[in-house]
Amino acid sequence: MLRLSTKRSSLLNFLIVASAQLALSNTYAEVDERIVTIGGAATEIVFALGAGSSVVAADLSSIYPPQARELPMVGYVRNISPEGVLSMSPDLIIATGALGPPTARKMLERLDIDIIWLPNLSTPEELLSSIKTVSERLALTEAANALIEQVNLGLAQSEANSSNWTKNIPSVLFLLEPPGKSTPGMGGGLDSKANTLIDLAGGKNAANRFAGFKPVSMESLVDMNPDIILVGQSDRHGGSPESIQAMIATPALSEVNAIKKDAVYPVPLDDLAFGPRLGEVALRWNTLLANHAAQDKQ
Amino acid sequence: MPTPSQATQQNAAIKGRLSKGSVLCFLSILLLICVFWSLNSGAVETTLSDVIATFSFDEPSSKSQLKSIVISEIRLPRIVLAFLVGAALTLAGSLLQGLFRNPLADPALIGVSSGGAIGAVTAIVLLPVIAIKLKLSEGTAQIIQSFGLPVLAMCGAIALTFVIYRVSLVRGRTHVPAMLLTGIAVNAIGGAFVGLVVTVFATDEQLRTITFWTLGSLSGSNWNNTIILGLFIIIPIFIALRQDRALNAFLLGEAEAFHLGVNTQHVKRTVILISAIMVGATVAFCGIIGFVGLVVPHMVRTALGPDHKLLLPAGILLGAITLVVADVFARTLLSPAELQIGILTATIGGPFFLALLIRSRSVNNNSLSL
Amino acid sequence: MNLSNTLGHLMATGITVRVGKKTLLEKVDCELIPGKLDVIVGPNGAGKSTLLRAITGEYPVDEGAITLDGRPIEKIDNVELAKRRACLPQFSSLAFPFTIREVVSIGRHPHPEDPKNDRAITEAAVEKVGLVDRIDEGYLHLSGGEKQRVHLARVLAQLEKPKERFLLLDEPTASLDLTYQQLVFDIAQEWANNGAAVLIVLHDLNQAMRYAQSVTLLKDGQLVQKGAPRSVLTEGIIESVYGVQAKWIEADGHSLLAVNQKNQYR
Repeated sequence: MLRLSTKRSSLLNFLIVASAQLALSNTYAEVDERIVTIGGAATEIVFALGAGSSVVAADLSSIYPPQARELPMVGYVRNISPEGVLSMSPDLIIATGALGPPTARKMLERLDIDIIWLPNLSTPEELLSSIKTVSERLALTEAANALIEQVNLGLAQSEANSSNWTKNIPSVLFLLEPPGKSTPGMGGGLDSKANTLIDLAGGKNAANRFAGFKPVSMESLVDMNPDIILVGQSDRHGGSPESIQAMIATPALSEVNAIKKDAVYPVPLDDLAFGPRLGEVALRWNTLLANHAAQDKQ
Repeated sequence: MPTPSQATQQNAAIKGRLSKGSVLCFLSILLLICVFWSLNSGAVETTLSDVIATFSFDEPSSKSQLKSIVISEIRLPRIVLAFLVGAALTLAGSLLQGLFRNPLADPALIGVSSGGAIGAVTAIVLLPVIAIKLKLSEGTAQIIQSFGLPVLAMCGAIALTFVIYRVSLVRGRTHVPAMLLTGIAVNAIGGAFVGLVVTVFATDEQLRTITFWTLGSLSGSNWNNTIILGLFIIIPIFIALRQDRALNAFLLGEAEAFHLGVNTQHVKRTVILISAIMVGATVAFCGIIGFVGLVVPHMVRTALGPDHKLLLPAGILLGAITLVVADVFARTLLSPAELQIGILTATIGGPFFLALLIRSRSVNNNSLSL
Repeated sequence: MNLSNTLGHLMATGITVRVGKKTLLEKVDCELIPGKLDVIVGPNGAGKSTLLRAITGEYPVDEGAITLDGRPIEKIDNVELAKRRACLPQFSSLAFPFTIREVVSIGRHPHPEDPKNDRAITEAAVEKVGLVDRIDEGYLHLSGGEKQRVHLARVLAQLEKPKERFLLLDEPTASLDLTYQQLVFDIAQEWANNGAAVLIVLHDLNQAMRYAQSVTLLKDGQLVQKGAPRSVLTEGIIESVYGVQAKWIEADGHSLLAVNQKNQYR
């Protein structure tokens, strides 16, 4: 991993990473194979390596990049139609571990088609090894190296920025959706992807008493008292501006640090995908946290 | 009283009761045609000659080998499953309607399926935990989970049918609002239980299994499961068919059936057990598929009359046909993706049920009978 | 017990039925003898229907014995029993679109299947109740009275013939108009005359006086009086059981019960 000087402003670093991302996605490599990608992260990796034009079909969870949404869909990652996949006459299938149902998995393995099984990406190491695996198969090692470097750049910058937060590590709560009047919120506890991301961004997880994603009541939110609340958002799931506003306005939560200090931020739900944009995601989260680590020092 | 013209219309409809043999023959042929159509439908392009080639014993060329696999290993298991599930749900619906003496008793509607779901979810989430606690070997654990799932689902279904029966049968007469309300309550409890277990106990993997399966799907099964399901459906079918005359008598009322020499306790127990076994097994492997047990028996009764001698076997065949056809649409409407079959049956069955209710209220203003 | 005396009889002796703390029937006797038309009467809650259901074997009794041909009824095979005794219930709730023919032919259930024979018997029974020209019409669209007639036909089809048969009717005329009330009693009498043992539960005392050969009067689960109609349905007993003053008026050989306009209801 490269270590950048902490004297460079984080904004500049952010720009470096973002432009490298843009540059890469404009290079289209010539891969002469029909590829079906299943799982948002798998699709993103193939596109990020520049082989997007070879992808002939994807699944409903593949929402990035936008071109992927235009492709024929073989189902949702947890309910894949093997026959649908076959009808695309693929030479190669790249799928994440989330593929289901189990019979579909077995059927695809049984067919005489190349399959690359990626893990259900939830750590940087898994992302990096997945990029390597895919790039080796597609003979795109150059693109892979650039991509890996970019990811590491973001992660390293994030780590560097937060290295002097030893005394004031902000506690962060990630909510899949905010608590409402009649529904609890869903919070990311230990052993969840949100937990890993918070860690990569330099924060500590306020939800440290349970594992996985569990319902979080208003009361436990007050008890956790996070410095920062991140709410997942997407077109169809997660928090809406209205529900976030409602949460901020809830009297019961008025004494929570994050709400007192106006530190409630929406983040794309897609950030949890642990796809090739992981570096950018970590850095973005890190920037949000940085504002408050700095404030607390004053 | 209906107007004279209405009465003649209805009477005309009743006069021509078709013979059992010709109806069953016709339905069997129709089923065969649908099966072939289904074998030939799907995201991958195939022709009828591909279908025939698959089942002949010639060596397939490498080009058509893929199509052979699609037909025999992707489509055929699903068709067999659709056949079994359609038959089972229709038969269970017919039996429950005879038991409750009401045409509205559908396994999903009155909560039997939820009972099965409770059992199945318990199996999915708790059996692995038990296997670990008892330190069972991998193989034993697998067997326990394979059989435990349908068995627990069936126990849930049986227990719940019994509860519904006790609550809604008052002095030998079915109190229909009680029956339907019990269904609502049971479905709510079932949903809450599944939600609770899923939230607290389930791993991500189990969560995936449960979420998709509550909508009803034929895609989660393999040949092993299909064979187990087949056992739990075919044997009950043969037992049920032998009760046709007794069920006719039962429709008059439990006391009346007793006076006619029917062993009412035996019939009740048999019907509850068999319906619950079939529904539980179906729910265990395919999730909750609703309305089949309501719509198909109704169609058979409308066309052929309520005599169980014809209703039961014709219902089995028509139910199989219905689900095979529904499966074709599920596999082709959103190609290359698939639509879950529970969604299809609900989309068509829901409005149908509402139409039934509305019609019954205008014909007989006193009670929900049809 | 002299068995030869009880051959062909359906006897209920010392019947006691309790539900929880309530006693529905206490030590009531009843006998169905071939060729006799018996009637059970009594106020509401007297236990008439309970007695009928106990006799058919449908309702378990806490004390007492019910025997057919001297054999306890519990020991007789259900199907054999059904071939010899049939019960017409007061109400029927059938919610499925059968035809009249189909409903009546359900009555053939206890007998081994014989399509031709069954068909003939069914048609004869439907003819008997005056519905044969509508035999293939739907049952659900009939009036209450017509439905009752269909069930009467079913019961007749079940028994086939009067000899050695037991015909039990529970308030069979409740939903029928005058014409068909008459039809029911005509059939009942015809069957009694031809060797059947007939038991009818009635609440109309005029009908009881008119048709019964023997009357059993119940009140609050107890047997009040049993015997010939004239000795049971006396004005004094009627007043003590029903709390109503009434007089029997004779006209052209018929008896009519005229109820006093002013009564004290106890």
